[in-house]
Amino acid sequence: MEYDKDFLKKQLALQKINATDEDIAYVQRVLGIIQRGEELLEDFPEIEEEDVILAVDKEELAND
Amino acid sequence: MTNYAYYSVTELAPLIESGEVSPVELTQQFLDRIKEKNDTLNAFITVLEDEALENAKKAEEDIKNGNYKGPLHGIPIGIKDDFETKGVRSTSGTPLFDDYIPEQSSPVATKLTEDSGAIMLGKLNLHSLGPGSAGFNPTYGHTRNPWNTDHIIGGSSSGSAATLAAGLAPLVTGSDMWGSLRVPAAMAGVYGFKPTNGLTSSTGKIPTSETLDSTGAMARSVKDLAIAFNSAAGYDPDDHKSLDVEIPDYTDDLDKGIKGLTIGIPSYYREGLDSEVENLFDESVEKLKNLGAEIKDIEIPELNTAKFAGLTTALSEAGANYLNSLRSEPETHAQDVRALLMTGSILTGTQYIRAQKARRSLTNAFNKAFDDVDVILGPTIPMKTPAFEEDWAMQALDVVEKVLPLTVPANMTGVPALSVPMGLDSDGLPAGMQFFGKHLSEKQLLQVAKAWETTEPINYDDVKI
Repeated sequence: MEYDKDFLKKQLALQKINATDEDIAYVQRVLGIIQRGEELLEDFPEIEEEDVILAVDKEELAND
Repeated sequence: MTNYAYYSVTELAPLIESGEVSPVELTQQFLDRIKEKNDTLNAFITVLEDEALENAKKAEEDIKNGNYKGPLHGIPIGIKDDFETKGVRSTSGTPLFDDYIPEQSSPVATKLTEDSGAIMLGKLNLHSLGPGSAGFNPTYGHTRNPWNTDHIIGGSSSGSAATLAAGLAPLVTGSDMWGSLRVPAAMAGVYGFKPTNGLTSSTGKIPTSETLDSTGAMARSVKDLAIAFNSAAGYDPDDHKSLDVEIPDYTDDLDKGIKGLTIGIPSYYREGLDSEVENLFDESVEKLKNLGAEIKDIEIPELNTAKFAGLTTALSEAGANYLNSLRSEPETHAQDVRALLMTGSILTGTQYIRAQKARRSLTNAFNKAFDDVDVILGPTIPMKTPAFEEDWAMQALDVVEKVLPLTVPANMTGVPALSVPMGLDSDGLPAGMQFFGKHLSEKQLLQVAKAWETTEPINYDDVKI
């Protein structure tokens, strides 16, 4: 399902961002790409069990 | 004077050390060439003619006086414009920083120039602010591909790649958030190296996405990359991502070869390839077998999450970094970048967290794959290097959508990745493939790339400009 342009405009307005119609169309397309990618997570239910580490853990890299 | 345009650092260094080549004359030769070609290529945003010649004079005097610093001393190089450089405008390719003159240089720039004696010729163009893979910049000019100026060069390190392909310098810096060193290296037919996240400092790298950004280098020779990393790598206490690890001499054992190494090719990296890229890749795999490597087909299904996780991570972080400018002066951002940042500003916390979970899962999958193989291989870009299209902003997104899934896994997992040329397509444009290694296996990746280099995958005599 495609993101609604009016919804996107309101979301951006909530962030205090004035977007043009051209911006909105572009954002809609980018979100579509992300959404299609996100749907693939359904094939990997185990991902939901992963720890959240907000970056690659540098200690782990150093000891790898 | 001999034309040194396509000489490598490795070739130039002994000539400079012995006094046979003057750093001043060499620098002047590259400055003249930049003057001749840059209007067409848009490789440099800022050319530092006076400063470069002054530093070259100092280098020449120091070398004459017996104070030779090593193989970068007196070598002209280019620095990507998202590296802060003291007293020199550092725009990151955006009008937002058009008049930004830093008070300090980034550690990587300092190590290469002040510490190792390289001569900074100028600051290199990039896809505006960094979040782009095409090399488009409506402010400082879209960078053109020296192999055919009707074609893009890739990004974001577009000026870096064009500089090397056009023989405007033998060595350049670059940065890599979702492929920004490797994509342009592939399209320019040069070597581009994104190290393990944290091996090189990101201090003074104008940020795009802090957890994905890495700094690195590009060159036309693998040994030149090894020389560059001998200088640029190392711990930076001011960078919270920086790794406090011992840095080996990357030039040692560079000719070790790849006999007995196992190279894994995930099926993911064979999907959706242009037929010419596929053929070049298959031929390259055969050559690697001939060099003594064992090739193994492997599966890393988690790679299918890379596009979502990479885009969500990069855009969320970049959107947060530039939220104020999006609110107050959105017109300062290029059309495509503005929309990407806007997208990042409205992605949800849930999506960001899911992306980090996918990132952890992908990292674990890579680590597991490296239990069975020494190196992972795949094409750097799945398509032929495209020609410029009229709607550059939409083309920018097309290019990102195609290349990011192949390149961002290295940024997400933090592993090093080195893109090498794999020949020319039927239009005479380069294609590339990338080797991924375990964390901190830079030395091994350079050995693999050096072995590959012996197959002579590219000939710069074919560059058209």
